[in-house]
Amino acid sequence: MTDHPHHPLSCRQLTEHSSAFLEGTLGDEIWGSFKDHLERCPPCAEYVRQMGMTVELVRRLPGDRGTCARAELVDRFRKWRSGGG
Amino acid sequence: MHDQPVHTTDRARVAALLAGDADAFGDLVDEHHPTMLRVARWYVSNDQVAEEVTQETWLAILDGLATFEGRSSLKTWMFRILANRARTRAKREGRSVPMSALDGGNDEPLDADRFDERGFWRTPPERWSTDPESLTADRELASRVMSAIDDLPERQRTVLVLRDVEGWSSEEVRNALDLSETNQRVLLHRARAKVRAAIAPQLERVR
Repeated sequence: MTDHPHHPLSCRQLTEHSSAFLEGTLGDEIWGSFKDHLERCPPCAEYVRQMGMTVELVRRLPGDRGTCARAELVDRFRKWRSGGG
Repeated sequence: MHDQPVHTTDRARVAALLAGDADAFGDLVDEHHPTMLRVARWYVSNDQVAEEVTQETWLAILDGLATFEGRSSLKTWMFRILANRARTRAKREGRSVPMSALDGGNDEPLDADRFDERGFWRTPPERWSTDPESLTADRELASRVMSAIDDLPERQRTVLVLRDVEGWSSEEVRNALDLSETNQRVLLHRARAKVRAAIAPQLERVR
């Protein structure tokens, strides 16, 4: 719990903090107001849920892998080796 | 690409590289080269310079391998070398202020017209009725997410890809991109909010 009195957050402010909330990095000074608002405001709860789903979707994407640089760089690696480093 | 028990793995990799294992090197290139280009591009002015810096960095990595002590992960160590070289190159190009300090945090307010003047919802989000499990199996949706990411402003895209696609920690991103905690957070949030907004119309229709 926090010692700070809960200054009410607007919906807009809540959405701006939603990403930090989902990451668990929301500051103590705002945590209480955020939770209070979220419990009472279904549209904000839906927004936060959607942000969570969005992040999950992004996390499931394949990363950047593989490259046409491999052959060329491996060639340089062999030269680097034979040059004795 | 999420953090593994790094140090054992990293030392084994470094040992293989020092022993001249070309496949081990090729795998390292496949794993990191595209992300290195992305990070280099953060600092320098165009793709070609980013490619040059990245190529040079690989040679610097090889030359430095024998001094790698495993105090940080191999990845962190490699990207530190890359960022140093990219920064130097950017300076030489006269691009001394990293763009990271400038854009992305201050663009237009998100969803401004969805809120009234007191900041309450004027147009609340419509409910997404699908559950997360079926969403992640949806290929069409995945391709929409990808194009939403492609459409992001470059700085936001870089932070989002490193954090959420590549699974980097906030600290790794801040170090590789010279970003403050606040800027990192703002860029990431804006990027995520834009992707949410871009896929919302499709998900609101799914019933």
